[in-house]
Amino acid sequence: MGVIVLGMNHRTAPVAVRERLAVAGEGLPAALAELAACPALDEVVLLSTCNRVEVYAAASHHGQGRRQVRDVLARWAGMDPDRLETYLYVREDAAAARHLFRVAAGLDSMVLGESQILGQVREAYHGAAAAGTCGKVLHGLFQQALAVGKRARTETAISQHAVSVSYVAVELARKVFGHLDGRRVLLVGAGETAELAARSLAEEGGCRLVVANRTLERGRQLAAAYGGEAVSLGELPAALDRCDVVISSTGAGRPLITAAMVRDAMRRRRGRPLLLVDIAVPRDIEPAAGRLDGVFLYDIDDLQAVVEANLRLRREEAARVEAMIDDEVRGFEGWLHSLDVVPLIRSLRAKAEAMRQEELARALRKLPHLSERDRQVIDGLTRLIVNKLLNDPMVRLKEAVAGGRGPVYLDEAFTELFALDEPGPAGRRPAPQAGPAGAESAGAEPAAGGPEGTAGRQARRGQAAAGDGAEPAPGGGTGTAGPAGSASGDPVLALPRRRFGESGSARA
Amino acid sequence: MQGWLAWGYVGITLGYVAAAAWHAWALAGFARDGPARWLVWVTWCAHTALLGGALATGHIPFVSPQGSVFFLSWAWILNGILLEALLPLRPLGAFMLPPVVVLLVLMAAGAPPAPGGALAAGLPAGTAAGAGVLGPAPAPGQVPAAPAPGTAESPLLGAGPWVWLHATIALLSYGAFGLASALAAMYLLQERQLRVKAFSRLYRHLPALEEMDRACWWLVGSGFALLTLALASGTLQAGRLWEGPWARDGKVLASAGVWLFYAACLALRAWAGWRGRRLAYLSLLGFAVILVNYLVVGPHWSARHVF
Repeated sequence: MGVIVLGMNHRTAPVAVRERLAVAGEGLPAALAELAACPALDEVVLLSTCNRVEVYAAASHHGQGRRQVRDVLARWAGMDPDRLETYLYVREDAAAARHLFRVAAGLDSMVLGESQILGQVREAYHGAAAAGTCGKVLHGLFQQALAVGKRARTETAISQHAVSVSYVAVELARKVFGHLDGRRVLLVGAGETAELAARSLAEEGGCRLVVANRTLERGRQLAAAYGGEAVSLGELPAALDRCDVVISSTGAGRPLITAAMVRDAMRRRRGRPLLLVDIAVPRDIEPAAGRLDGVFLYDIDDLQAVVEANLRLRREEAARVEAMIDDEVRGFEGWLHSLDVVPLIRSLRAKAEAMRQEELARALRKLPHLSERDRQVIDGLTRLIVNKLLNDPMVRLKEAVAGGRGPVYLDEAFTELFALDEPGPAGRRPAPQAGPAGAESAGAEPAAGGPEGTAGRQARRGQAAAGDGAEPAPGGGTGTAGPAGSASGDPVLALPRRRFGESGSARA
Repeated sequence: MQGWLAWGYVGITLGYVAAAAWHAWALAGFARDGPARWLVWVTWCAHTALLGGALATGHIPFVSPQGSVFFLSWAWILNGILLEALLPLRPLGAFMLPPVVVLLVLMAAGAPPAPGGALAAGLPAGTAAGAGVLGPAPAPGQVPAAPAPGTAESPLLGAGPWVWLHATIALLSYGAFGLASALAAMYLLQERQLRVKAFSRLYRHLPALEEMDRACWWLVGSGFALLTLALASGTLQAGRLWEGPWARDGKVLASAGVWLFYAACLALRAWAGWRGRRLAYLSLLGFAVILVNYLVVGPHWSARHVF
């Protein structure tokens, strides 16, 4: 079982392609159902935002899963699958997890570190959970992704410092005034960015809004929306006395607020500082006003420069987030492989329990004179012996897998040693997707983006070469069907011993 | 007896040095400032204990320059801890500690060797002077046992509790002015960044302008009130203790000048609408005058003041 992601984002596909695949809220269950109907896919989550459309799936056969997802997407887009493929990226297993973690942390967004995407990832996950297309593997993946996104935002500055013009204005106001509660913000004109900044100040800072507009009616409407007041442009000088932050964006084409006006206001304000934010081009506020003591004037270029500087800071922080994600990906890999051994352990237990019951029944038939308590003692005794015998191998198996050393040999050794592939209480399980670690690179970190799974499978196939000819086994086969002396049998029999030694030392 | 106080003085100084270094390190973005604040706290508690111990064993901190710095730094840090707890002035510690550290080290280094040689090897000469005078707890008219180091014959000897009170209040007011000047420095740094629109890492650490402005002038106001009390109590005592034209004493004149200067600052702020940068510079200037007064005028140009 492995994870794949197929998707496109603002970097790989133009909006003309992305919009064909965008799935809105109501359409999500149907889209998920269509994807889940693909025979190769066991679990599906669909993440669709304005900048990306991505399908996360758990599949046993990556190649088939990939093709089927691609075909569904092509059908939605009404495009030829081969043409669609040029816009898509595909990641598998660890690389898929890394991709989702980067998306959740905001590293893959158009605006680095933006925080909306985390909520969108959460919605996509909940949507799939509600539609019942999200199983154990994707539950694990998405829950970890949400945790990573949260960690990135709390432990690093990836989402700190404003990177939009309107929000920079809010941040500046906080740096000048501290608490914004109850301060007045004067909004001159009604440019979109200015309105956004004023709204942020009103809603987050608790500021009161004063709107000055050429058409008083429009100003009244805006003021009413935020519980503020409206004044005419003629009342600007008086408004400058009362307000601490001025956000101006008219299309007047000449300075509405002159340096003299600000100087007079400052005299009346008794030196209380004044923050002037001029978003208009041509500018609304005379630049000379910014040279007055206690006046802080920012025009659109200044704000852009702050945005740039803040983005640079976020880029510096991105390296820390990447390092964090490296750790998390390793953890996810370990967990993914541990899933592989769960069925193995289960079948071993089942087999042992079946044997125990059989032998216990036979023994008790020979001892009819035993009391009920005696029978219970014997029952307990056998259970204890079986459990104790199985305990160490299982612990070692779990440890080896959780340590990121894929079950490439261990699980095969188990299957072989305990004859778990024979029909019986424990049937053959499908061979797990190879983990990131081949025999040589056990424990080594997989190269990012490389299809580690393939490497693992090739290593396995190499071993199984002798067996392949003799007896094609499903899913790559264990390659141990031949006699014990076969080329493929040797490593299988030799390796577990070395492995046990290793895991023993790992525990020490 | 002087040994433990001297060691204590050195230990406290080192504690503040370490905290200041950590704060600077945090400001540069290499670490969090939590441990530094914690270290200031612990050092200050030890400082308090030492001060209490000194007073309990009859060592009066005001009879030597070292002792006075020991007390001044205590009051200064106390103010800082309170302010940081009350107001969002997070990196205050980074600006509050360096002047304290400089003063403590200056006094320790500049002090003459203490008589009695009670210093352990390796201790800078003169740190023991922080121990002040051995003697019983101060009582009206009581004469301490030994003259204070650093002065041939301490003019404070034999002074009653009123004099100690005068000295205490004066040092508390210096502490308030000192902390206000640290805030003024922070204010000026932040104001400059906002004005030239070049934001360094420091900008992100420093608090809001208005918060700093408010805290700075609240401190100046309380410092001014204390200084007024100190001058008043000094005036009342002077006539009783000193012969001659005491008003022409260098320290008295300088202190009156400082008082007038701060009175003018507060008046400008209250009635002329002076705010921000100009007043922050004045606050710095005022404290510079106080330092000169404290380190130079008192010890050297005043026959009647230890500091």
